[in-house]
Amino acid sequence: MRRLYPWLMVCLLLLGAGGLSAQTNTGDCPPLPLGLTGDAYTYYVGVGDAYAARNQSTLALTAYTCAIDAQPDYAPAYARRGLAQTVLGDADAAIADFNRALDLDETLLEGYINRGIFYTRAGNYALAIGDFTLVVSLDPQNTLGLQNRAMVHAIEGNFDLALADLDQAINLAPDDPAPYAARAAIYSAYALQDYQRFLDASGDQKASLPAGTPGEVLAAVDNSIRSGSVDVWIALLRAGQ
Amino acid sequence: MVKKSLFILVISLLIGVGALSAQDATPTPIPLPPPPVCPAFEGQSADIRAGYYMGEGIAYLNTNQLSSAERSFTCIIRVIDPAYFPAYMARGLTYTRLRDFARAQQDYNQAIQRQPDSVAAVNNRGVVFALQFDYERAARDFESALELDSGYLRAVNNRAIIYTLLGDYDAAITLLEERVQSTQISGVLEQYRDPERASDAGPILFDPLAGRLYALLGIVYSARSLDKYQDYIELESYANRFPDERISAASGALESRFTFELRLDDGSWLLLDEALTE
Repeated sequence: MRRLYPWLMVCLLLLGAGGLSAQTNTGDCPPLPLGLTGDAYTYYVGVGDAYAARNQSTLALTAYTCAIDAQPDYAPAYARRGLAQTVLGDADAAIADFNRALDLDETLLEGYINRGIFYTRAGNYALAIGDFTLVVSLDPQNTLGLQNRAMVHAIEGNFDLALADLDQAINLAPDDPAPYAARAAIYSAYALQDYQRFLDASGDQKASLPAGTPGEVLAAVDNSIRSGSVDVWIALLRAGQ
Repeated sequence: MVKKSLFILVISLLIGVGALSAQDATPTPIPLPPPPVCPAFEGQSADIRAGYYMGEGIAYLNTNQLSSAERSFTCIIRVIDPAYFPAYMARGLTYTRLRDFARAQQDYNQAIQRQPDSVAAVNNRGVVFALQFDYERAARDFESALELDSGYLRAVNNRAIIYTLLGDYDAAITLLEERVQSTQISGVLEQYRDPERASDAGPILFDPLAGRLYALLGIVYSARSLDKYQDYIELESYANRFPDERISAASGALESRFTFELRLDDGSWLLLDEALTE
């Protein structure tokens, strides 16, 4: 038995090494550029970011894995790979990556932001709000945290809270286009709420809206702003009685 | 009289200025827009940052997001390290694909300035000249590339095409035949044709660019044939005779080929060196 024990250890070690190499297989890594003078990991992070921006999550995942192979302590690569895993639907791998990223760097904002996105997509809104709130606490100027939290508030029907976050994001970064689109969506939600109130107050869920359907009104308002036509507003005037 | 002299002087000066600027061969520098915002790995070394933007740019290039790729490479050139040779090569390629030849030429100039022995940079600049129908400067670059590396088949391909476009079929054929010999591609063909070759013998590996030499030779011979057919048809027309219909048909078929599939002046037969990665 004593003789067998060292062999068993060797076998276990070999199996372990095999398992490790399977996880860190660099065979699929994109080739490095000619004349690259820096570390490979930043190159792979760049590749991954470009593919992620194009929604090519499988390629992004491969590139982030290569970055991790080249620099296993670089926390943002795990946070970004986690997001790619999220998009590809591998929840376990995603959460493992987010946790690894935050183990390496507990102040890594993109780790919390991407994990918050994961929780949002998974329907865990309380956890998502927790992550986005942590981001805003760590960095009160962080407009991504504010916008993402606003979207979770919107999902939960808390449009006032959503609007407050988006107003703050817009005040912080008035040149950033994204929060305007998000706030426009919240205004649309308010609009639909009021249309529903109109129908409820009319006592007829099929009542005709005074200036047309919500879609028609939006198009008419757009036309009014562009051409100066006031028809949509005229349609909403009420006669004296 | 004084007024008249002054008037003539002013006119002469104006004409002189106009003539000078017309003679000025230096290309007008393209005005630079403000540098892009490049926040990745800010505060870290130029190598690390350049690596990131090379990765981003090459991935964008691979997915045909050319404007994004241009922005990534410009980050390196304008913000991180203006001496980074691979970024000029990559952006030159991006501009070539965008058909922005003036900017591509500038980038390859910069690349050659930094690495004068870069055969890829010299070849690619030659392609950019050829795409602008500047065959003289294109030919000079392909010659320079072959001086740097006589076995560089992209420049052989490109030089042969320029010879053919200029009607120097003999020079094109000589160049291509020489390279067929030096690459020993004919030996590969012989081995495949060897009746003794085992039926289960594996493939013989060869450089596809070497194989392409045969295709180019065929094109050049065809171009020369077309010229000869047309000479014959022209002669018959001077003699007020109808040319032999078979030759007219062959000439027409070849002319059609050189208008479409084998059109040599549309750039599609030129070979850029697109190897940005190992």
